[in-house]
Amino acid sequence: MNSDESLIIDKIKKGDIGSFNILVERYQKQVFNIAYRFVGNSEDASDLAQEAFLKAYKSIKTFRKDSSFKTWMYHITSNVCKDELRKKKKALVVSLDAPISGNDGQEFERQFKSSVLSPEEKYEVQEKQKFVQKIINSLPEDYRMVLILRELQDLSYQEISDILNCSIGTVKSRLNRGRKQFKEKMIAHMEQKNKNQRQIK
Amino acid sequence: MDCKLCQERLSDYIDNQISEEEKQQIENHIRQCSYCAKELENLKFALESLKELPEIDLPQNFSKELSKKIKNEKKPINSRFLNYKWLSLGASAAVILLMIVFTNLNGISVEDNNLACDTSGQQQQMTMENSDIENQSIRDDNIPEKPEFDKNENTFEIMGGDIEQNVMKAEVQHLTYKNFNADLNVTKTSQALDFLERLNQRFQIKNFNVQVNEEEVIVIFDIPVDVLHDLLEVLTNEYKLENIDNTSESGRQKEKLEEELEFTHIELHIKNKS
Repeated sequence: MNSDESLIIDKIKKGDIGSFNILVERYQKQVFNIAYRFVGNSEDASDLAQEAFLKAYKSIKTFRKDSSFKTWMYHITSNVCKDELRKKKKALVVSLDAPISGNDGQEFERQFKSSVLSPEEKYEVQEKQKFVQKIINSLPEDYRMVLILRELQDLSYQEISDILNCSIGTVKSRLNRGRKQFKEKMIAHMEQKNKNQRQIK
Repeated sequence: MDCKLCQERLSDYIDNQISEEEKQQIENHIRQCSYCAKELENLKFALESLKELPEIDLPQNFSKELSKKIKNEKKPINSRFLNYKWLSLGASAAVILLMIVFTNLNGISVEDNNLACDTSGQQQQMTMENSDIENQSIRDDNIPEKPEFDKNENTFEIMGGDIEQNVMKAEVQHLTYKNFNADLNVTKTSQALDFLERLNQRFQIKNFNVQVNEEEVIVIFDIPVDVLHDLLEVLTNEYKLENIDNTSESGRQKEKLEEELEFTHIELHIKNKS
């Protein structure tokens, strides 16, 4: 626990909302991104991320600083995301070959504004990113979260085990299985795509 | 090292979570086995695509909305104080109620003594329960607003309850609609569930699920075959959705029985307004 955050947390416990905003500023983007990759759309992700911060704020007095604030915050985020999913109950069969609408490129436009890709290349990259996201959403929630924390948030095994409150062995095995499932779907998609392209030619 | 073990260890190998000895074994195996070498290459390629995903910007009003929610929240230290205060108030209310109950029962004649005792026991329990509920609601007041999603949890439980038991024959129908209806907003899970719930009031919906991504909402459910036509009418005429594409996938029929009715498995795609 770094001393700067320790001080901030003490202030929040004494009722200083402004200090909580410092922590929000520091972690909102990562928290939102974890939620975004977990659910696959920004409206739900925004709700989930806000709920996670609100929960953190409400229970800050129980935070004992045994871990870093970041670990604690990600732990809450992961729980909020999974609770939401539990409500959906049944595992969803995502239609991976669903036709994709081409009219919603605004989000992507912004990302590529400064890049030097041609329109065709940009389109390719966007389609691939959409597809990768769909595969993520088709994975079981435990595998999904561990992949997000490892591959996208670049966290260590130790951090992930603290966040998910499980052993490092469990992190390893979930990561192993999650990666395998992800790889298989990804490769199947690429093969299908190549086949389609050959047929067009 | 055999192929099975090698592939089992590739994930740890990539992250260098293995001993030097095992690392040597894997590398030796990969040099000799083109299949496992390909698997490693595929895995690296797939994970690369995952890492390439960009960081998404926060929605514009994110910070504003959040700080509003936080301000509505009572300060953590104060709310704790409030809870105790209300809890003790609730407890004393319970005691007073109990006293009243006892006073009343004391007035009952001697013959009814056993009964009176039993009743007072029940009453006591009830009063305690009531006071618990009161305290609960007081505590809830401190939480400004429950997320919309929570409201749907129960419906979900009720409607999706017997998913595993009923194996039904279900022809998969992909229905794709474009949403041009200014009044119909389905861009997040809670809205999609509301939509589904309204459909459920008309049709006998089972085994549903929703998935929302940036471009579309996918609502999946089963309905009896004979109301399929009505469903299409409702979507077009009442919800003003524009039908783009319908395909049926008879190959994906599920095995039936136990249910007399035949169900159609619907995969409804609603494209967002752009």
